Amino acid sequence: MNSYRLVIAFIATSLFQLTAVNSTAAQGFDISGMWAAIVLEDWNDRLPGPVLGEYFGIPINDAARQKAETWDSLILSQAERQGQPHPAQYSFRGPGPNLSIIPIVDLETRELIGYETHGTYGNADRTIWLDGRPHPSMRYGLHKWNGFSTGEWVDGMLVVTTTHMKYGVYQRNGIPASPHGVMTEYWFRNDNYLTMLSYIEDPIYLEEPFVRSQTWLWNPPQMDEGVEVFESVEEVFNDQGWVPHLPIGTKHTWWSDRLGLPVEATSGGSATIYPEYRENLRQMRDEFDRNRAGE
Amino acid sequence: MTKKNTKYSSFRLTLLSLLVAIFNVCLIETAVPQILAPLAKDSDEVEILSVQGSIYMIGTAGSNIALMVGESGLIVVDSGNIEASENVINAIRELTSEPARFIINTAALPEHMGGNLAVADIGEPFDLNPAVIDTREGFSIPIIGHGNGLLLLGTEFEDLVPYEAWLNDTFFSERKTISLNGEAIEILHQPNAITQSDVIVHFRQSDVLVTGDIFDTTSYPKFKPEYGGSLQGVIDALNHVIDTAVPIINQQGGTLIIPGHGRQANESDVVEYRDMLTIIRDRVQLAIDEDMSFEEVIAGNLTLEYDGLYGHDSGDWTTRMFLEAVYDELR
Repeated sequence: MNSYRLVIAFIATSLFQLTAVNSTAAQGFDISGMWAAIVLEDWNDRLPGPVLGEYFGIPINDAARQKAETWDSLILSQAERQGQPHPAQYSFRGPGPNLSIIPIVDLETRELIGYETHGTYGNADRTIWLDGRPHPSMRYGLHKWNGFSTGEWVDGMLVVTTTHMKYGVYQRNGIPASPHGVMTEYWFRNDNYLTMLSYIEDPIYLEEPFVRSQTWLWNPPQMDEGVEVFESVEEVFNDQGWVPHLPIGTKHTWWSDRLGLPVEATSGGSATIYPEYRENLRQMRDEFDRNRAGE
Repeated sequence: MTKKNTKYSSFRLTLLSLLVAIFNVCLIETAVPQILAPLAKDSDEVEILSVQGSIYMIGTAGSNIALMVGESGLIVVDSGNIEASENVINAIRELTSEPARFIINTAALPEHMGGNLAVADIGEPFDLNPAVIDTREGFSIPIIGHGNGLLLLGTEFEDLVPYEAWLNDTFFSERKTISLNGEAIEILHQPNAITQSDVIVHFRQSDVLVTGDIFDTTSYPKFKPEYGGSLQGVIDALNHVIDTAVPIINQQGGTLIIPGHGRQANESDVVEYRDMLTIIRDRVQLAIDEDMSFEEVIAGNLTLEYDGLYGHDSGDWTTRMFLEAVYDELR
C-alpha cells in the first residue's frame, strides 16, 4: 500500500512539475552582481590547470584523445593564437573566473531581456538572451568564442542553451571541443551562492555528455577587471605557417607515473566517470605494482 | 519506533524529490547537437545572411555566394548551382532592385558558376571601354576570374558550363582590382590551390574575405591535382588569408570570411583549418619517409581527430580520396 502511494505521489509530483516545466516560467531570481569564484574543491584543475595526459573523468573518445596527445603547447606561441580567449566550453571553469554579471534591460519596456557576463580569460564576454530570440543559422551562422546563448526560467532554474561555439578546448591540456557541441547550463541561486551545472553534448569528441559544476559567492566589493587586450608579439622565431605538434603515438605518462598507474587509467573516456571504475583502478594499480616489481 | 519511521520516511521523500527534480531536468527541452547533412547537389535551397558592411552571403548547395549591395549596383562572387538560380535571384531581389555590375568566380568550377547566366540577366554593364569587355552576344556584364580558368573551361568543363557563362574578363597577374560603391575590391590569384584558377576576393572597406573552396568548413579541401590543384597550394592560400585577416582584439571580431562551403568564419577558424591541413601534411610526409604504403597510412588513422569534422565516407570527395591525393602529392 505504501509503495502504491509512493508511485502515485511520484506520478502526481512529476505531472505537476512537468506542467511547470512546459509553461512560461516567470523569472526565478536575479543573477546580476559581482560573484567570486569558489575553487577550493577543484583548485588544481581550475587554477594551475590539468597536466598533459590528465583526462581522467572526462568522457572523451579516441578522436579527442589523439588530438590531446599530439597537442603541443608551443602552438600557443603562434602569432594568431596568442590573443585567443578561453572558449565558452571552458571559460567559466578557469582560471576562476570571478564574474561580473550585468542585466540587459529593454529601454522602452523596462523588461529584463538578458545578462552579460564579464571576467573570463581573454574577455570572451557572454550574453545570455532571455527575450526568446532565435539562434543563428545552424548551417551558415558565425561561431564565436562565447557562442550564442539563450536562457529561460524553468522550474526555478535559469536554463541556458549555447550553440555556435568555436573549435575550443574542455581543458587547458589540449582536450578539444568541437564547434558542433551544444552546452546546456542550469543556474541555481541559494542565498548568496550561485551554482551553475554545465552539460555539454559533443557528437565529435565526447562519448557521453560532459557534466561539471561551478559555484560563486556574492561579493559586492569585487572590481570588474575590465577589458584585457592581448597583444601578439614575436615569442619565438618561426616561419609563416609554423604549426608545432607531437607525433602520433605520443603518450603523456608523467601524471600516471606519479599516481602509480598505467597511462590507460588517466586517458579518460566514459568509463572513467562512473564509480565502478574504482575497481578497475585497483586492478590496474595492482598490475602496475607487479610489473614494476618484476622490472 | 514511530520516530525512526518518520525519519526514514522523510529521507525517502527527500530522495524522491531529488529523483523527480533530476527526472524533470532531463525532460527540459534543450537543443540537440547535430551535424547537418550536406544539401543534395541539385538542391534549390538557399539561405541569405547579412555578413558585415555592404556584404551578404547566400548559401546554396553548389557554393556560397557573396553579394555586395550598394547604390551603384551589385557584385556577385560565385553564383552557386544552377538548380538554385531562381531562388538566388529572388533572394537578391528581396534585398535590392539595383542591377548586377560584376560577377567574380573564385574558381572555374561548374558548381560555382551555375547561376552566372541568371545573375547576368539582372545585370546592366557600366559604359566601359568595349575593348575591355568581350561584347559577343550573350555577355551582358563582366564575369571576372583568373585567366587559367579559361583553360579549364575550354578543356574540362566545356559541356558543363554554357559558353555565355564563361569568364569574359580575365587577368593573368597576381592581382586585379575594381571599385564599386566607394569600396576597393582586390581579386588575388592563389596559384595551384583547389585548381590553377583560384582567387580570393577582399572587400576592403566592409572587411570581408571570400575564399572559394580554399576554405571549406564542411570538408577536407577538394583540391584537384588534375586541374592544377595541390595541398601545399591550399595551405599557402590559407596562410595568405590569415595574413590578410585582422581581428579587433583577442582574436575576436574584425575581418569576416565567407568560405566556399559552410558557415561564416573569422581568422581563428581559418587558423584551425590551416593547422589541421599542415598537421596532416606533416604526418603523411613522415609516414612516406618511413616507407609506409598508402594502405598503411589509411590503417594508421592519421586524420582520426579531424574526420568527424571534415571527413566523408561517401560522396564525391571521401576521406580516402583526400588522403590518396595528399599521399600522391608528397610521395
